[in-house]
Amino acid sequence: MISYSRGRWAPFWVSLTFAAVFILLRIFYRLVFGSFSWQAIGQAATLALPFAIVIVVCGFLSALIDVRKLLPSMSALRYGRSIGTALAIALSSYPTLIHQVKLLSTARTLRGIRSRSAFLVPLLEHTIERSVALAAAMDLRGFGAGKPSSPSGESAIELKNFSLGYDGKQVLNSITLSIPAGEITVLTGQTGSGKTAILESIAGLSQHFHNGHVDGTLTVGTLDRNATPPRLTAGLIGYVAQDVRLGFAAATAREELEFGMRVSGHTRSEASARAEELISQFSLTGFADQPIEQLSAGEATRVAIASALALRPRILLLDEPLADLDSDARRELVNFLSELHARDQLTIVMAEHHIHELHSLAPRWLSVDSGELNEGLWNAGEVVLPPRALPVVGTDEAFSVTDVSVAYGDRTLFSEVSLSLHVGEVLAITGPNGVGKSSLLSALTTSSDAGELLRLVPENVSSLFVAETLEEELAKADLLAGHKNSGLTAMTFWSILAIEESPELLSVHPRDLSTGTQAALAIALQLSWKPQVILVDEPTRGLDEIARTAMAEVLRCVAETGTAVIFASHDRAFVSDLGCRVLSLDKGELVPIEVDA
Amino acid sequence: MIARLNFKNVFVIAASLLAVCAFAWPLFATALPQHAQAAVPVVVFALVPALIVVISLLLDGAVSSSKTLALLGLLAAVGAAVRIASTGVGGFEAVFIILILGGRAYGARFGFLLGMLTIALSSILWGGFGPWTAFQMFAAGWVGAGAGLIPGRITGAADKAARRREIIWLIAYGVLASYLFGALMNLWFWPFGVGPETSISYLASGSLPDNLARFGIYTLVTSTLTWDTVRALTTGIGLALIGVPALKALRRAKL
Repeated sequence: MISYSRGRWAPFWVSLTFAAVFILLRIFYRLVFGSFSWQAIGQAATLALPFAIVIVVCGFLSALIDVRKLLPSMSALRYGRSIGTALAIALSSYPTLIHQVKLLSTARTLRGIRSRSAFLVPLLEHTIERSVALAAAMDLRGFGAGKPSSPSGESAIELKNFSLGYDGKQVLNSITLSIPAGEITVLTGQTGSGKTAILESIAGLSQHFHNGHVDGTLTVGTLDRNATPPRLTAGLIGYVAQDVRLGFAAATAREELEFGMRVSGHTRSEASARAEELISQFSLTGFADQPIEQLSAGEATRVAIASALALRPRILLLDEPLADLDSDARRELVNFLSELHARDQLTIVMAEHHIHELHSLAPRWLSVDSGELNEGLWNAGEVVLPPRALPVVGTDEAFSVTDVSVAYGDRTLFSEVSLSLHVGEVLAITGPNGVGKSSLLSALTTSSDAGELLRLVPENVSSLFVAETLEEELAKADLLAGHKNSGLTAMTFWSILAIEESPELLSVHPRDLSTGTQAALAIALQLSWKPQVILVDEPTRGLDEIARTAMAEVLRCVAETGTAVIFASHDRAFVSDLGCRVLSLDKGELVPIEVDA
Repeated sequence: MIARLNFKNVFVIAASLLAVCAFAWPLFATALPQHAQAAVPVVVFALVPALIVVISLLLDGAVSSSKTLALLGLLAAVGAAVRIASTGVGGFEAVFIILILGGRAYGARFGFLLGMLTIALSSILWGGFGPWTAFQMFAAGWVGAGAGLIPGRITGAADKAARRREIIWLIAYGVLASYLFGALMNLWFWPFGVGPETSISYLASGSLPDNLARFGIYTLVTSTLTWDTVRALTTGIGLALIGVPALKALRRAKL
């Protein structure tokens, strides 16, 4: 649809076309609004030449001068720096934006929406989310502070009766905590319990970026955090946000590292030298110059950590770094953090659900519950119900497909995959990240002759949402699926979530719902078509333990209605707890396997 | 209002007025002595880019916070994507929706910069730099700025009716701006766009009413009835369809 790189001389060719059209138009006007003669044609063309030449010269010059290369120097100007930086952000974020446009238009097709303008609103919503994440990342790197002050060696963190509230809503309740320098601390707890708020408060974002109301004291090293904005501690604190991709400004990992250095006030040569250093130190060489949206979750997280450590901070804060990773990538990242800690004696504080892999770091465990802090691990055991058995599988075949193949460029992801499924059956497809599970699901979705039989729920579920409130979203789904005002989608939604209908929740913006509820909503939206099979890509992405159990229950409920479920997941524990049929995608083939947690 | 009229804003308005004069050069140049007339287009072509630089420097301070900057950059990228993606029938027209919404949500200065940067970015990405680029940047900037200046702007919480009213204002503005944009872009280009010896040609020795009449016909038949109408329709319908939720989405970001 839109190509980003069009070759160096493209502007010149464009200008030639413009010049030709310009001359033709002049001749046309002369003939239509003047008198007709062959002489007039020649005269009109000759008189049009000077301006046509100006057009071509402009095109030639813009082909000759690569503005993209000039832009980074603009942010070093004394005047016009802001606009230069804005233009640089616009240019470098363009490819990822185009990627997002493609995702959203795929989602539009998946939901059966025909109107083209319908996805402009979700695109704007995504743009706002990205702007806020990017702005926070820039502040954390010292944007607008000039040269980052050389940090003091002090990296202990001290909270005394620290409370935080947003718009009158209390998020953290009188927390007292002392983290000595060089220690690893892990915050555990349910989604929304306040783990992120603690990290953001230590980083200064809560107080100075999100304009939260604070009480009590928070000291980082010798600094009063409540009085020191993030930009002044860029050299002391490195921050890795939860959704790292949202905060990326650049088109490649190398440019992202350079952008971070430039934002903190370093010169172009310093920035590229440090980026080179980080690329080799963090083993990013293999993908440093690839389009950043094509990196795997593990690779993207490594880039974000490298970028957070670019200014050699003494404190590293990580918000759920393991969330999107498969088990191999998790182990790799934990080993990496352990080496980093051993070498630099960093103070590390992280929030994480996946505690299993973290035991090897021997961290100090803390648990956060409704804004209160306690020593020790958060125990979900009391609230998590044991999984119920899946419903009995029907005898009728719901779906079968033979010989599906997908190639990606010159690489074959899988060839001649065959698969059949019974009514009410649940099937898991496992395999590490990047093996082609998502491609298999979308290939299956389009493989069926009767397209209405299968419905796909993509991995980034929020891309399916087009309405302003949950209520409108559910009504819209009824409308799209051709049973307007039936309330069917709403009924499906509440029953798979297994909760009472809540008027309070109905008025919430779909993007503001919790991750687990968003996933359930996406499934309900796609169920409104009454498909024989529903395909779900990574249903447990970003879910904590309670939400994961709830998701298992959602899938069970769906199967109970007779709809067969195929889901792709790298979450082995989830798959094994569910106790369904499992196929593993391995070297382009689907093989049945047994999974133990 | 008086507080907002600080010296920078006065300069921005003055520079904008100067730029309007530059756009309208065919109407003034005839009043000059004959030997000076040839120099006018040259002066205009130098003046407009210079004014772009001046206004950029004056407005630079208005977007110095990281949030505004990131928003400006990313929205300009959205605008450029819409412009490049929708080249063809209806062309460049859908961009107006983004410019008007951006200017409305974040104010006139932001809107002006958004218009300028959107044109600059799409020209860089797609090619199509030409003598017209600086003029386009100005005209698109005014479209964005105007959306922030017209009345009925919602600042706090508002009911559905108020939001609808605001969109009706914006649709009216969008239609008007579509035609004005076309007329302005035609005005400076007119003496180049049409050669001599036609009934719609610019007359260097003609009187102002005579030239205005000729320009009127030129702009009416070459763009008002065609491109400008397509643009007005695209913008109006687009704003009617997505205006309310899009503005709500943009206002979710607290600057």
